[in-house]
Amino acid sequence: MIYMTHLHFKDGFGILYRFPRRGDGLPMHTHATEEEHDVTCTRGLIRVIIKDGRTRDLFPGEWVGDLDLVNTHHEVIALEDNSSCLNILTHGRPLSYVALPANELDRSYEPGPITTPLESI
Amino acid sequence: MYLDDERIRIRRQLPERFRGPVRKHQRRIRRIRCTGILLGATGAFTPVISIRTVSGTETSRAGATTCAYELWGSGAGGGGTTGSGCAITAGGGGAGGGKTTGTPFAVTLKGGLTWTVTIGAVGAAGIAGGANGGNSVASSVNSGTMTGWNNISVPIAAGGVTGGAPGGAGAAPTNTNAGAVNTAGNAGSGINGGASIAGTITGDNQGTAVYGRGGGGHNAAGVGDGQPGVVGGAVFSYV
Repeated sequence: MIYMTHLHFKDGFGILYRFPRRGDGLPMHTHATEEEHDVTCTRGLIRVIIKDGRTRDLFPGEWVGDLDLVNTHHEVIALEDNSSCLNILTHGRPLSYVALPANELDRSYEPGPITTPLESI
Repeated sequence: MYLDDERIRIRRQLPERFRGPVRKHQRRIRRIRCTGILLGATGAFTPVISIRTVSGTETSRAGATTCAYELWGSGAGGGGTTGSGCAITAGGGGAGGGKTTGTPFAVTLKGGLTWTVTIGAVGAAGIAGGANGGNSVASSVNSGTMTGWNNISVPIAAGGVTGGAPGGAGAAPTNTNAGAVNTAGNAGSGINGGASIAGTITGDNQGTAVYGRGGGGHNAAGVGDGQPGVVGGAVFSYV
């Protein structure tokens, strides 16, 4: 089970993800342009994995924004318990988010399976 | 030709999706006429095709001998996404409408008798954030004053699920007239809506589905609504 919270700040918009256990994460996915984002580690240790094999490990305060996450499938995995990351959406809050119900803005959920085996990390 | 009771004089008056199928039908009629001339036939009835995409009363044409018919159910809606950001799950595609047809129905001396045609509403699009696609409503052709006709119907198509499964295949249509061929609607496939079923009168599915296709679910690349289903239809071809 992981946790996500929408964060608004003036024209900015981001989503904070919290991962209680090592191995939790955001399964391999890609985005439409309006969901383009970077990844900043806010606690613990976060690994960003690109489908082509590139990886970036992020400690608190470190971020990655040059991996073209719109056109490239990617996965985010916590390497330590109680890790978290903040994904800032580069284009602000997508218009399609305006009508989302409240329960979509701050919730816990069971994500799909992570592609990268935990043993390999 | 008539579309929802409006007289169509040239193909360009039709919505583009009908033009290909109608052209095919016109060629068929031309072949029938040529054959009649070669055989020395003197019949005065001009073949008529009537397409209905809204409910109404269909009146049998005086002078016709047979009426080929097909009835399609309307498509269901596709599901919206659930989640947001990096946690978006696609909506399932809506199921397509079923189809029924049969041996051309004898209408000699039945000019002016009527059928009551009901074209069910399409399934609504599922809205992002947790809404399933809507089911479509059943369609039917029932005898109004028409004699010798057994009522026919095509059941609902199931909507795609939000953030999940496509709509399943529909139940078989009901048709006990001679030579009935009942085809259940196609299930959605992943985020794709169920495919429309090909027609035999109008040469359906010539590159694009014409009647009763299911609406697609929204993909997982972004938050979004599914698509509504495509309306079904009834076609009557009098010869």
